[in-house]
Amino acid sequence: MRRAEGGTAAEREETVVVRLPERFEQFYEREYHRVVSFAYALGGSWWAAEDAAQEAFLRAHRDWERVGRYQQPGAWVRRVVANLAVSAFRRRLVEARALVRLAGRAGTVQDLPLPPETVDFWRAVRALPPRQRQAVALFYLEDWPTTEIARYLGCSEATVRGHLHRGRHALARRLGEPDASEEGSG
Amino acid sequence: MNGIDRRGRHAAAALLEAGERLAPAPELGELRRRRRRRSLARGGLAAAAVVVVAALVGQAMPALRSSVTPPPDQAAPTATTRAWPGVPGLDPRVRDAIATGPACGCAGDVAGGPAGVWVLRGARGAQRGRLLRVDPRTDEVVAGTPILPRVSYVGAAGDGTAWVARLEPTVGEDEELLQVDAAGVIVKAIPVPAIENGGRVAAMLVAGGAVWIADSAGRLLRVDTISGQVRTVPTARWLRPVVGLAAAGGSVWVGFRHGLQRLDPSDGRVTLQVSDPALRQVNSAESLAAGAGALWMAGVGDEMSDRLLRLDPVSGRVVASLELRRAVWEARRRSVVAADERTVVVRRGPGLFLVAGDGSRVRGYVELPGSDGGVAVGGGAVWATDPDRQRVLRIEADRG
Repeated sequence: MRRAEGGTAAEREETVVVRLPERFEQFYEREYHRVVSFAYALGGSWWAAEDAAQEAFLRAHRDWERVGRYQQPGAWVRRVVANLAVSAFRRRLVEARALVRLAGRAGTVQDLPLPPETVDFWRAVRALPPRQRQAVALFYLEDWPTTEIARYLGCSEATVRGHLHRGRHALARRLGEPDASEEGSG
Repeated sequence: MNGIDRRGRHAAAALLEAGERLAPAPELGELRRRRRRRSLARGGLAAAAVVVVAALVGQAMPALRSSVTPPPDQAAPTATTRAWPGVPGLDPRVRDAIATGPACGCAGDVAGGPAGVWVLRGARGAQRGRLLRVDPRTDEVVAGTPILPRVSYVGAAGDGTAWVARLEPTVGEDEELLQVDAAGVIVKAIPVPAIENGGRVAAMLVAGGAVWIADSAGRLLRVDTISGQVRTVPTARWLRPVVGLAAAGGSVWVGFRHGLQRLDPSDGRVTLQVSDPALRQVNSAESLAAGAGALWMAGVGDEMSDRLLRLDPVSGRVVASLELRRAVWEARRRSVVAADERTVVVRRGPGLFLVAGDGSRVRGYVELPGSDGGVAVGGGAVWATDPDRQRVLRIEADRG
């Protein structure tokens, strides 16, 4: 946030450029499910994904004054989620906690009801190396262009294209689909 | 689109759809509660681990046992004591003490509004502070917002939000006015010109679609809450500095050390310069508030006492005057007046005067611990910060 420069002191006081952060509630409503899905794509447990996403949103909320003014607050939250979601120890802890929480409820504890081919696809994504995994998840789930994925991963667009190329090649091989490696990467 | 891309898009759509169906986004309040519970559980786990380790060490080395002294009682500071008889050692009208962390100890560190009581924590020093909201129904801190340092004033708005102004220059930070909602979310940030020459915020008011900020440098700003436009309102140079701001009778009132002005809330234009000689009963005004159908001005009367004036909310004329006796050791304490529809109080250091709504008498006096701090009226009680003990006290003005 900056004030317009130049002019007299009185003019500077009168002329202000106001850049306000988005309301956190709007951001939270819009992004929550996408962020949980992203965490699930990386970690493979819905409970852990919800937990990681909620933790990330709480951190964003706590620091919204700063985070809200970033160009892409959504990317910031996803980065926190990516750090949280891949910890196997944390995943097990969260699942144990969820079991305790749900022990008193009727029915059984079950994970996300997904078609088998969807489960297979995300399982195959999780088998990719971490950076490829994130690039592929953002590409399919968020539909982000390579420029944004590059900004998120902190690398060049060419590197992102390389991650996507190798990732899709590996997915095709694992899932028995025709090889996509010759058709570019988006 | 090739086969793997098609499969990827389908998998993404199925995942998003299933997620939305299975688990709606939880309320933010629920998230916070869940986190708090988890922190407590983690603390309990750590304590248990310490106990186990200590027991093991004790068993392994019995010789040590005799030399180990029991740890001092490290119970957390008093949180809430919701039931009477209130807080041990204090006046029985002090109903509760809510731990808030180090308050800034300034006159504007607490404010009462429709959403509860807002308290500034540790915001005057160099460290980051927090704006806390206390729910008067439970006396619990229900929201907290990190804020930048050097904030010394919080103002409550009628829409349930609070405004904090950080205008004292800091290196590398913008000066701004922040609006915080009841959930503790910063919903608006408006850049505001800094106070020059090391000044500080002297008074703040949210009224007439604007936030009014007076600083010790003699400047009065009107900040439009919708457009964010900042205007400097000209004030009478010979009356400065501004000691208080209040909204009454459809106008904004500016209390100066030696006078009183009425402003049009829409543009800050001076509509009345009060010239009632009775105003001079207050030699040096220190605070201004509106409530109980009147305007209230408090300040130094003479060498022996302070004065509280009850003023007509339209004409500004003095309709009642009350002497507040002062002990010698209270001489340097500043009087801060606060009021709502029913209650009028004046805080002077560790003393709290409960004043009758017609300004005719002091109907009670509550001795508070500690020294200076702010006072506010809201949620059916009086709230006074106790900076030395890092808490805010809830006082029931109508009891006893």
